[in-house]
Amino acid sequence: MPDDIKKDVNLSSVPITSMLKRNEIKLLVVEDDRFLRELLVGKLKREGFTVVEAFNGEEAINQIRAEHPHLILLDLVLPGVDGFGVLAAMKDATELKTPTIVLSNLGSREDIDKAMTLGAKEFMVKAHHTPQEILERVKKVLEERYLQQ
Amino acid sequence: MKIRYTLFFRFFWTLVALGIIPMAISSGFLVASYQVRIAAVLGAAEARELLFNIGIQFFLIFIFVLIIATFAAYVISRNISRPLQVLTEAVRLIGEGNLKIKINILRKDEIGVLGEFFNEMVLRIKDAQDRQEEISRLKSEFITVAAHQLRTPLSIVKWAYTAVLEGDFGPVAEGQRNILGKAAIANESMIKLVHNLLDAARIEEGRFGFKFERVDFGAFLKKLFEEKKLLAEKKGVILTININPKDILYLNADPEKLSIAVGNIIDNAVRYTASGGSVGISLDAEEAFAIIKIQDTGIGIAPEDKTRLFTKFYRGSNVMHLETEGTGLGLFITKNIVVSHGGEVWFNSEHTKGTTFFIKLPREASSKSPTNVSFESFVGAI
Repeated sequence: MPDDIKKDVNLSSVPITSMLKRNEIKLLVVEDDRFLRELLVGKLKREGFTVVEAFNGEEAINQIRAEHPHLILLDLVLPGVDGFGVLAAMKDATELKTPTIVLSNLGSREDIDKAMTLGAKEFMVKAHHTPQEILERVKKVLEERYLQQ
Repeated sequence: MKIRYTLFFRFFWTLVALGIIPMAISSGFLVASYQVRIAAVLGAAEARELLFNIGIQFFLIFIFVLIIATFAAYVISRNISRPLQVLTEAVRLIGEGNLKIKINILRKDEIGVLGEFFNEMVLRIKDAQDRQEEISRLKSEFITVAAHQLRTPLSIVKWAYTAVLEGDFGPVAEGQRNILGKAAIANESMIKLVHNLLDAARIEEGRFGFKFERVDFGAFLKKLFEEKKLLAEKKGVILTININPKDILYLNADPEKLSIAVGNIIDNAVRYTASGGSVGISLDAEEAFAIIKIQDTGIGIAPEDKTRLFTKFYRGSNVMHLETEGTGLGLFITKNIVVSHGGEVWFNSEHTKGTTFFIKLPREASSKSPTNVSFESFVGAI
């Protein structure tokens, strides 16, 4: 996984805040609702993240392949290939593997278990969290994934 | 089954009686009418010999009748009891919930007719049950889809309010902040309602998804207390906690679900206690149980509300006009979670003086089937 190693080297032992100032961390936001996507992307960009967007599953997989984001915020109910499909694709192909926070309005134990088994790091119900809380969770997952060896 | 109650035994005796009685009567007549004359013609010795012969013949016939009766009783009773056994077994299986049964009785007599009716009945019950299951499935699917569809616009509203209130779109004046804050709170209670609706729907489907694990219950309760303390302080209610057991109290439980169950009761206690009042949480251990007590100095529960408090969408008459918040689902969910842990929940309340809720949980939870619970609560709601 050359890309994975590259990411690790880039990020290791550098505090997240200073990296954010240099727009070095790239996120992928997969969300089909345009308004929600714009609000979230706006918030993340103001914080200093570089953000790429996708509005369905196929697009998301293409973006992962092309952009190699450090972290994905993934909705589950999407037109075409849904969020579970994206998670399954990442699980199957090592070059696509990326830490993922699922951001959905589903939220039953079955959905959560299914997403977690497919490799999601966190599961957040959109209606229960503000963009600020999501932002904090993004930082937490990034720190866990890339800064603590 | 005792042998004298079996069909075989009854047929046997009937047949023996049918065979013996007419024969005994006819022998009696025979002997009575001819004995005197025979004795006159042949002499007493021959007559006695003939009488003895008749006795022997009677005995032989009696043996013969016994054999025939045994055989016939066996054939007839088997003829009737075999299909009855099949039916009994079928009814037992249906009682256990297996409706994929068709009994095979090829006879054309009354028992054959019974068998046909039986098969028809099973088919109809199966139809009714399938339909019931389908309706219940569609209902919960509808609730899930509706709730999900509601959540998307609710998230949009929530995110929009927070974006404005956090100043993402420029500074917000105090008056604007105030009014937007109120709208945001109303939106939050709507989100809470949708969340509770989803939980209630899952409980009724019996797929609330419990995950039991070993829980340090004192620590669990302290954590919950810390979460709720802020909410209470905001309302001017003093929230205290008392963990009485000296040793660590382990419970086999689902911590996530239990924090909903206990949290609902703490929320209620705080919500319905006026500023300056207090809510006390305490934990005690019994041999096989843990007992949580949540005592408030709130408005209490009116006597007429006490029996229906744990049913769906029921809210106390005294809280309806107090404030609009509250979904009427909290205690329904709490009870279902506690009962699914094999525990009990109950309360003492004095109207206007305060309420004490008790939750008793077994240390080794034996999870009760949630469908039973929902049936119980369904019946309770009628």
